Order: sequence, then C-alpha cells, then structure tokens
Amino acid sequence: MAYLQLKNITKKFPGCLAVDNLSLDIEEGEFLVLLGPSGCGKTTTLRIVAGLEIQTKGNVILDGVDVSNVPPERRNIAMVFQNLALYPHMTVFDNIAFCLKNMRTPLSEIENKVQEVSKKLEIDHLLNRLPDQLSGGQQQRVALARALVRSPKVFLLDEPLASLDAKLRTAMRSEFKLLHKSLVEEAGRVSGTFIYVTHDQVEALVLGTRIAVLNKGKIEQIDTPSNLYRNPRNIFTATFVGSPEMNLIEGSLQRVDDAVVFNFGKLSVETGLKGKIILGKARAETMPVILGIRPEFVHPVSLETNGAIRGEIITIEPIGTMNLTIFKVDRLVLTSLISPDLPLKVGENVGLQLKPEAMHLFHPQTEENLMREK
Amino acid sequence: MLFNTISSRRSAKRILVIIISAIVLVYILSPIYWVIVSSFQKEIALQDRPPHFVPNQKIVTLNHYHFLFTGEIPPDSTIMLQSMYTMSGTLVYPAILNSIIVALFVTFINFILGFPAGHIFARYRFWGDKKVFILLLATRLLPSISIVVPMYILLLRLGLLDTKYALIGIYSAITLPFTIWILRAYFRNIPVEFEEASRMDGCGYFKMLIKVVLPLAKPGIIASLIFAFMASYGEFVFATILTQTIRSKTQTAVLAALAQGLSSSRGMIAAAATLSFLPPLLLAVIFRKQILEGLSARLKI
Amino acid sequence: MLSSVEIKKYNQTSVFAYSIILPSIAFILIFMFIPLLYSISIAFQEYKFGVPTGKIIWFRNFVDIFIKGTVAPGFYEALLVTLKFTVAAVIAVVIISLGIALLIKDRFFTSNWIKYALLLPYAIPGVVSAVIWSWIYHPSFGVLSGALYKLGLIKEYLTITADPNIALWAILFAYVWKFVPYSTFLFSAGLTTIPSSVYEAAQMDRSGPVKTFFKITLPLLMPLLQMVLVMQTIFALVMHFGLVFVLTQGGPGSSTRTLAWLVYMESFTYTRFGRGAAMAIILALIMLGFIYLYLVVLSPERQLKRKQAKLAKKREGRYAFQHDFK
Repeated sequence: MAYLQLKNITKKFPGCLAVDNLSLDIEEGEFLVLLGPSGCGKTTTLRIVAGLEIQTKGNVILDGVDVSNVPPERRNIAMVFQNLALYPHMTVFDNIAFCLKNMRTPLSEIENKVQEVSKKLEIDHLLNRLPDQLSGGQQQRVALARALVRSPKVFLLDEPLASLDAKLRTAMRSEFKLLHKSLVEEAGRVSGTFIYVTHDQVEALVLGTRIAVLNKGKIEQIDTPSNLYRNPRNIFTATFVGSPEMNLIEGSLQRVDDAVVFNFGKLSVETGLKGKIILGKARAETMPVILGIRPEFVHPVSLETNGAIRGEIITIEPIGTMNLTIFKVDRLVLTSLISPDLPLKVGENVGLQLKPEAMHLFHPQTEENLMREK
Repeated sequence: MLFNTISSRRSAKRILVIIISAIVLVYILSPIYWVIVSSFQKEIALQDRPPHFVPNQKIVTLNHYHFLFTGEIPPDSTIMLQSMYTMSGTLVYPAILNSIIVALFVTFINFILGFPAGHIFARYRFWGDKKVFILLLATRLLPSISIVVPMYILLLRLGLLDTKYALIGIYSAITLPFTIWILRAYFRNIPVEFEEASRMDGCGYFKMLIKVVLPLAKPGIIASLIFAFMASYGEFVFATILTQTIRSKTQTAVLAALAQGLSSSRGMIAAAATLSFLPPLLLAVIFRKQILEGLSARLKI
Repeated sequence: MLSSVEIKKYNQTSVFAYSIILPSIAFILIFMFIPLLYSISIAFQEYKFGVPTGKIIWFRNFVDIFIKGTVAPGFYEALLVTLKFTVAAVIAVVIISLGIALLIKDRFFTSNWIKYALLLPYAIPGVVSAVIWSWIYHPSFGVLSGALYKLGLIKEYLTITADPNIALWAILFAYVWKFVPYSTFLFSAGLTTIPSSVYEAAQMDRSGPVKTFFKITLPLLMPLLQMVLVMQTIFALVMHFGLVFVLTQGGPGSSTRTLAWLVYMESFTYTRFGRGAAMAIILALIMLGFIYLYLVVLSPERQLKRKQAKLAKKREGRYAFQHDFK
C-alpha cells in the first residue's frame, strides 16, 4: 500500500468545483510535484492533504491510517506556505521551536533539535534575528527548518519559490533537491516525502521524482519528468510542459504507398509511420489529426532538401544558448530552437524539416496522444 | 476536551459563535427595540408589571407622537394622564430641528474648511506643519467640561448665549481636527499622480480638489462628514449649558430635561427619544459601508 | 542644506498652505484655545455666587481642592470613583470589543450583520441612550427589572439608579453599550492585518486557540491595543457625563460623583466658577498626560527604538527562548 493515498477526493466550493474525483498514490520518499495553471485545484488538493480544507467527498490515508477527519496538527504533516507565514514578532529560534514548545518537549531537547535543523539548513547563525531582518532566501530556510524540526511524515510545500526573484529561485531549487536527497538517504526518523505545488513547469521538471499535471481539478497525467516530456498523454500536458511550447499543427494523415504523410494546408511531411499501424483499421484514406512537435526538433535545412517545407523567418529571439526562431509556414506559425551560430536573418526563407521520431499525433477532439505507449 | 476530529470542532465552533452572537445582539439591540416599542404603547400599559415586551393590538397607540407634534392631549385621558404630558414635550420637535440645522451647518463648514485642510496636510510640507497638526489633535482631546465654564462666561458677556451660532462655532472647532485627521490619512492612500496629472493639465487648486480628489476620496469624505454630523448632533455638555430657550436648544438638552421630570409620561419620553435618534440612525443605516470603511482606515496614521 | 530655490519653494508652499488652513485654525483658536486660556485665568480668581469678586487668589483654588478635599464635595472621593469607573470601563470595553472582533473574524456573513447592529448604539447620541437606559432602569416600570421578574429571578423591582452600591455599575453597563462598537470596529480592522496563513501555520504547530491568542494574535495586535487602551481611557474620563447627568446626577450620595461631575457641580451647582475652572484644569492635565502617552510614547519611532534595544539585549543571551519559556 502506498504511503499516502488520496482516494476520490472531490472539493466543491460555492460556485466552482475545485477538485474533481482525484485519486493519487504517493510512495514514501517521493518528491511529488502538483503542477498546473492557476485555479486548477493543486493548492486546494495540498490543503486537503494538510487538513486545512475538508474534502466534500473522498478520503486521505496516511501510512495506513485514514486521516480524513483528523485535525491538521495531529496528522504529523508539516507545511511551508506560499507567503512563508513566519511569526513576525518571534526570533528565528522561537519560530522554529514554537511547535516543539507546544508539544511540551523538554528544553534541552528543543535546543538540540533546533540547533541540528538550523545547522543542516545553514541558518544557525541567524537564530536571534527577527524575520524581517532576513533575506528572502533565509526566510525560506527558516520556514523549512520550522517544518523539518517536527520530523513530519510528509512535507507540503505551496509554491514556496513564487515570491523569490529569478536568480534566487534557481539557487533555492537546487537546495530543495539536495535537501530531499539528504532526507531520503538519511536512515531513520525523517521520511523525505515531499508534495510540492507549483505552476512553473521548469521547477517541476527539475525537482520532481514524479509530476502530477492537474487541470480543472483533474489529473491529466502522472509520470516521471522525462516521460512527461517525451510522452505527453494529451495536448494539455504536451503544451504545458516544456518551454518553449510545443508546436501544434492541424491536418490529416494520409497513406501514400507504405508510408504515412501528414498533410496540412498545401504542405506535406513524412511521418515515418507504417501505414498499417495507424490507419490500418480505418477505412478512410485520410484521418484528421493534430501534429505536435517540440521546437528543438524543427530543424532548418536548405530549401532544396527533400521533404523540407518552406518557412519565412518572422523573428529571432536570443535566449542564451539557443535562438528562438519563429517561422511563418503557409498560414501557420512554427517555433524552432536554432543554434545561434547559423547565419539566419529576419525575412529569410529557409527550409524546415520536422524530425519524424519526435512527432506526436493528437486526436482532434479528445486531444489524446495517439501514439503513446500504454 | 475530546475535540479530536475536524467535524466535531467545527460543530462546537458553530454553536459557540451562535450563542455568543445571540447574546451580543440581544444586548445591543434590545434597548433600541424596547424604546421604540414603548413609544407606541398606552401609558397605562407601560405601567404594567411586568411590561409588555411585544405589544398586542389593545395597547398600541400613536398618542405620544401626536402630542409631541401637536401638543394635543388625547381627549379620553384621565387628569392624571394629562398632567403627565408636560408642555416641554412640545419642544422636542423644534429642538430636533435645531439639532439638525446646527449639525448641517457644522457639516458644511467641515466640508468647506476641513476637506482642503486635510488635503494640505496630506500633500504638502510647510513651516510648522507637524506642530500645528499635533496641536490640532491635542485640542480635540480636551474635555468639554474644561472649556464650557469660560465659554459660558464669555458668551454671557458677549450676549451670544442662547444662539445657534455659538453652537455652530464650537462644534466646528470640535469636529474640524477630527475631519482633518481622517482625511489626511485617507488622502495619503490615494496616489498623488492623479492630482499631478490634473495640475499639469492646467487645473487650479480648488478645481483639482473638486474634480479629481473629491470623486476619488468620496468614501472617506462621506465618512468624515457623517462623523462630524453625528458629533454635533449628539453633543451634550455645551448644548445644555450654553442654551436657554428653544431658540437654540438642541434635542440633546431638551431630551435630558424631559427625562428629569419624575412624573412625565414615559411613553412621551420614549417617543421623544425615538424621534431624536432617528436622524443619525438613518444616516448610519444609509451610509453604513462608508462609516465602517472610515473607521478602519484610521489605522494608517 | 537646502538650496535657495528649495527654500523659496518651501516658503511659498507655506504661505499657500496657511492660507487654506487658516480658517480651521482660527475656529480652533477662537473656540478652544481662548476659552482654555480664559479658564486658566478664572482658576486663579475668586468667584462668589457666579460673579467674580475681582480678587486674584492665585493658587488658593487649587490648594482648596487638594487640602479641603476631604470635605464635601470631596476631591479625593471623586478621584476614587473616577478611578474605579475608568479602570472598569476600559477593561470591559476592550475585552468585550476584542472578544467580538475575534468572534467574527473570518466569518463574512456574521461579521457584517454584527457590525451593522453595532452601528446602532454608535449612532445614537449619548444623551438619547442615557434616556433609554433610564427608562430601562426605572424603579417602578423598568424593563430590566421586568424581565428579571418575569424570569422569576427577583421578587421585587430593583431600584437601580437609587442604590449606592449598584448605581456606578449601572452607568458602566450603559456606557459599555455605547462604546463597545467603536473599539470593535478598530479591532476588527486590526485583525485583518494578520494574514490567515500565520494562523494556519500556528494550527499546524499544534497551537490551540488560547495559546494562539496569547502567543500570536495579542503580540501582533499590541500597537493597536495600546492605542485603543489609551483612547478608551481618555473617553472614560469624560464621556460618561451625559449618563451621570440623566441617570444619577452624581448620586445617590456620592457614589457616581466623578471628577467630571465634580467640575460641573462646582461650576453650576455651587457657582464657584473659580474652583470649577481649577478642577477643570486638573482634569485637563490628567487628560494631557494621557495624550502625551498616546502621541509620544506610543509613536512609531519610539516603538522602533524599543524594539531594537530589546533585540540588542537578546543577542547577549545566547538563546532567546530562555527568557520566553515559562
């Protein structure tokens, strides 16, 4: 049985259905990321696990015990809030020790534990300061320390990096990863089970051992980061994960001899598929699909190359190691990631090749990925 | 306490809230309810023990109000009853008018003088601005009792005792600091850019105040003017001591005098009280949102 | 140092500013300051039967008050009554209003209705409320006695305002009724400045409602609480006048004879204006003491300095909790 189980969780607010029959199993030691756009129900789900919101239907089972009706403080769960919620009038030491004091732990033990945790997070020199005398990153760590000191079964984190500036965010991201790793490797009391909520897919891909993509209160897909990236189950997941966004082209598949081509507008590209696999069952000669291909698999080639389609460069945006190049193809717009070494200029016409192995085909109505390995 | 489950805690909380809210509401509302109900009851019914909390048809009457407005005593009343309707009851209605007139003038003055002054203190630094402001606040907190004695003597000498003007002047002095304080805090929370933009468009100072600041600060201005009205309307010390005849007596003074009469009709007094609190009560009900907002904006000093 | 251009602008602004605020200042000077100054001069004179005898007796009025205080009307007695009332009123108002504010915190529906209900006592003028309460307290027909009688709690109607033991508390009950709304609004607004996530964090840190109140809510409300305490003290010293006037007139005996009432008595009952003015000045000085407390001691700069001094002290001790933990 999984360490933490969410069974058929539904949460209705007056006027909106925040969580829709969501079920999720989480193993001990996992770093599970709840990823999704604003309002998709990820924070609500987190709060239901915490006990700060009560689900309309469903159960939360932690370590074999149904905690659905158990108050938050008795669930042995720690939470780091989006705005950190440090007690502004207490020193860092008191902030961290507050929980232990409430549990009536003896003084010496409190001292030890707080020292231990603050050393681990490198804030032991800040113990006498007040929260408003700390930098954003330091405050972040105090919030973590406050959670850590309780040796909880699960850590819940609600967009902890949202209020930090970009540079700090990247730094703290790595720290989170290291912290998780150290907790998992440490034998003993503290379980390193993390549930992390964010809308930033880069964070999710970097941090998560598994990612649950949520949309409108439902889970679209739960998978490892690389699987999520390479095998998105539907258009939502495909476009939400990965930056820059995947290119989507409406068109249809057609069998030409033994191969299958994808027609869109007046253009046609090879898909590298064997005709039988996709179209085998269908009687029709053509099948409408939506083709998805990530920008890094749109290659510029010379116009004469066989199978290339013609594109006119609209803009070139340098984003560091690559250039984000936007092409006008027929009546469409395609995005491509191209090495800055290539001497391309705006307005030029270039040939584009879509790498067949990286193509995803989505059903036009259900938006499911037709090629996904089940 | 076995409040181990979330649902049990919720229920317990809910019950507690309901009970305490009920107690609070009863404490707050019952005096008002009672005086209104009393004003519609026959004098005889009011002398019943225990009194009628909810009047039935037989004891409802408009006699008290009738008397207050017309001075006519109901024809079928006993001599005893007749004597209970003291003539000073007829002063209630004109006194309320006095109160309203005075309060309106004071409110007007607060608007004309206090509104720009509040703006000045909010936006400009000038010589002595902090000192003057603190002075303003300090005088506001002086007890009326300390001022009323010399005021009485002064007005006596000047022959200005028993005039509405004296009251208007004093009440303006009392309410202006408060208005300026509230508006200053309120204006500070409005971005200066609006005013700067209008100035650049060639607006004069007063034009800007009326066309730009006024619409933006409407809730705060309404709140402070309502406070000024209520303060003047309900003021007691000066109203009692500095007035003598109905020429200037406000409802505060008349009502207090009326209540002193040991044999006065309680129904009449209840009716008088109800009429007296109607104007500010109506204002509070109509402008409740602005008042509540005005009271919480004060925190940002 | 300001440049000459800046100085010129400053002066220009000053002239402009004063041209606008002068009328307001004029009102205050004429109707507040001049009487105040005059009051001081009266305090130093002798008045008999409401007419000045023309003698300037300097501090004798004050001396009379303090020395002859034990002779009726007693200054020290009034001081005691005032103290009793003020302490009780401030504590009652603050506790009740804070309690209500906490009760309706985060409950939008109940909160609005209770606030609207609280607006009513706030809007009703003090004297009108005094009249209402005098009717409620009526010894023969009062509804308070009536309700208790009907519930079977008493056999006979209570004489409330004529009972020396109860009179002051009756005034307190009516006073609290009128003054709780204002504080409740203030506290309610103040509570909204504490983010709800802090409470949630406290809940997850196993802090029960009582502990959360004392360790989290109260410390964070402290500046507001201090302000309200001082304001309520200032109000309590003076604002009960209307109630005393209508309900008890200082009696029975001297059980409700507060300092404010004493000033009135000296000036208008005994027409010893000199002494009355002197007493008024004493009262005003007591008030000014509190104003000083309010404006200076509680000012933001002061608070910041105290906070920093506190921290410096804490840094000397290695762990803060050794001072905190009880």
